[in-house]
Amino acid sequence: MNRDSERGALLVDQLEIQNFRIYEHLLFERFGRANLIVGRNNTGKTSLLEALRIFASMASPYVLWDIISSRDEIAQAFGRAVARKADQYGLMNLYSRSSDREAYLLIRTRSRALKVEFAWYREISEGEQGYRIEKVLDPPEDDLVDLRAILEVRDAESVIRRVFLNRRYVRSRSEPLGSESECVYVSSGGVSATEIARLWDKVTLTPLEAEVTSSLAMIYPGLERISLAAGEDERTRIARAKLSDSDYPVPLKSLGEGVNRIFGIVLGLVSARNGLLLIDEVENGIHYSVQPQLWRFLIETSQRLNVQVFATTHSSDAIRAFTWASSNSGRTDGTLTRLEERNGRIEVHQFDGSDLHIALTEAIEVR
Amino acid sequence: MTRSSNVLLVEGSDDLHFLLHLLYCHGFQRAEPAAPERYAIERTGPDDRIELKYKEGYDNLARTIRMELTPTHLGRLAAIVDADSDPRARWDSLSAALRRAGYTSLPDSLGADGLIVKEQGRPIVGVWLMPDNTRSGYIEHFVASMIDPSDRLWARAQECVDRIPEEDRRYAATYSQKAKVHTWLAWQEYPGTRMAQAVVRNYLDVNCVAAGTFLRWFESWLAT
Repeated sequence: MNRDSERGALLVDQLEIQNFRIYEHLLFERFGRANLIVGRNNTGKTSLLEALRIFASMASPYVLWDIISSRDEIAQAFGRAVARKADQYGLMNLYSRSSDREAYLLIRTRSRALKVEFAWYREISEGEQGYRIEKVLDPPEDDLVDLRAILEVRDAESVIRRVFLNRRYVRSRSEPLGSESECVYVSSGGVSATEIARLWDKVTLTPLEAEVTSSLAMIYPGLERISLAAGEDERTRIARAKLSDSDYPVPLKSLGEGVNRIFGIVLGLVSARNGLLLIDEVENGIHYSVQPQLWRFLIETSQRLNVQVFATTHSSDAIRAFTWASSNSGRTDGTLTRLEERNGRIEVHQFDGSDLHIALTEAIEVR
Repeated sequence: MTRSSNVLLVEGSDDLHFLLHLLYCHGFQRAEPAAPERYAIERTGPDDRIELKYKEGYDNLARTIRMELTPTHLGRLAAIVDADSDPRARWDSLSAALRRAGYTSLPDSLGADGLIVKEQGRPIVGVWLMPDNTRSGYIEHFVASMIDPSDRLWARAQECVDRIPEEDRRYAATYSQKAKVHTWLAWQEYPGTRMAQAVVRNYLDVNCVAAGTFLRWFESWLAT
């Protein structure tokens, strides 16, 4: 298979991010099938995953809500008392420069662009018909009470959705546009029980179920089957495993943190078919000796299911595991991206499969 | 902030051990390596710690130096390589590899004192071509210059190798200095002494002029 055609199939072949979080402007020249993102704290590793989530979901209100709330910015973002325009609901935290004129973020690949622009709108009552909204280009500095903060989401041509920044909107109006890509996000804390249940229901009784079980068995030999059943409070469902040496199911959690985390990652991978799997701090809870196998599984399976994987890490074990697995997979489409802060700016350094092969054989630590 | 690190690249394992022992004679001592199979030295502590790596030959060194220069914590990297038959060509090749790694201020040729390159935002790079940056040759030429010139055994070893008829020589003509040095080493108190041990056993003068020039380059690389 030639490299270009392989790359052409990738959703995110190249990525340009403008005015998002700590990125004023950043270009990632190449991404591969499996991508590991490394860098010290505060170099924007998680921000890159956030940008990818926004991009894949075409700035879905759910995703924006989740991103803002996960950084404790929700009170600001959705609070009522907004006195100064500069605060603009705390959403300004999304942007790297936050003057009014520049309150937009831009995410672009070779074939697709997405712009999320902050704007103020006014509700205008139309009597019986309800109301319409109208953009306010130059709102007064100290009186925003009647205005609504809105995120305008544009593709290359036009506004494709308007995200109203209040809870009700996020809950009630996030009908899909149809152009979103599948995107599963595994946070540093792992996949929540609710999300596990949702993903499992998509997988169980399909051929992917065996895929999930066998990949877990690779890490936990003796694991034969998995099932989700109601927990004590009836609302939560708990993953249980059947082990070869026991006739009774045991809670998956009792097998250790690592098995649970890997369960979440593997479920995420098979659910993200033709889309993206994003893993924040991939090493969390996973013993270093298991990481090479996990990466080998991710690399092989992502190829088969056409998933593009992005994972962040702090750990040199994770870097070694990824380097080993991507240079042993016989493919050259794994990349390692290093984010570095230099003189207050974030710089990108990317390594491709052949670079990683050199790093592996020459024992060079790419950190 | 992670402490910056220093890496010294050489072609082969014999070169590595020879340099290791030469540096032991000048105040360095063994430090704990990053991995059991690696080598590290330091003089006063972790700040002047140097990791030594041999690269299984020049070609591999030149091919991989770009990646060797990538770790963010790397403060300095030095490469000590053989000039072989053409020091000019060797430097052309190595400087091309350094340009691929992003270095822009490399000179066209090397001076006798070796090279130190300092560029903003990049590790400091040192280059030394064995034996002395200007002559063709290899590490055995450098070792030969550390042998006492009045050593009668050295004169005999050279003469002896020179007298081997062409048809009986199994080595390429360019290797004759290797043959002479290793012949001389074979006739020491402990026959078959290796270059590194020759340093330890005082067969070589670690304070000779050639060693002094080399060490001045090394010290200034480490102090830059």
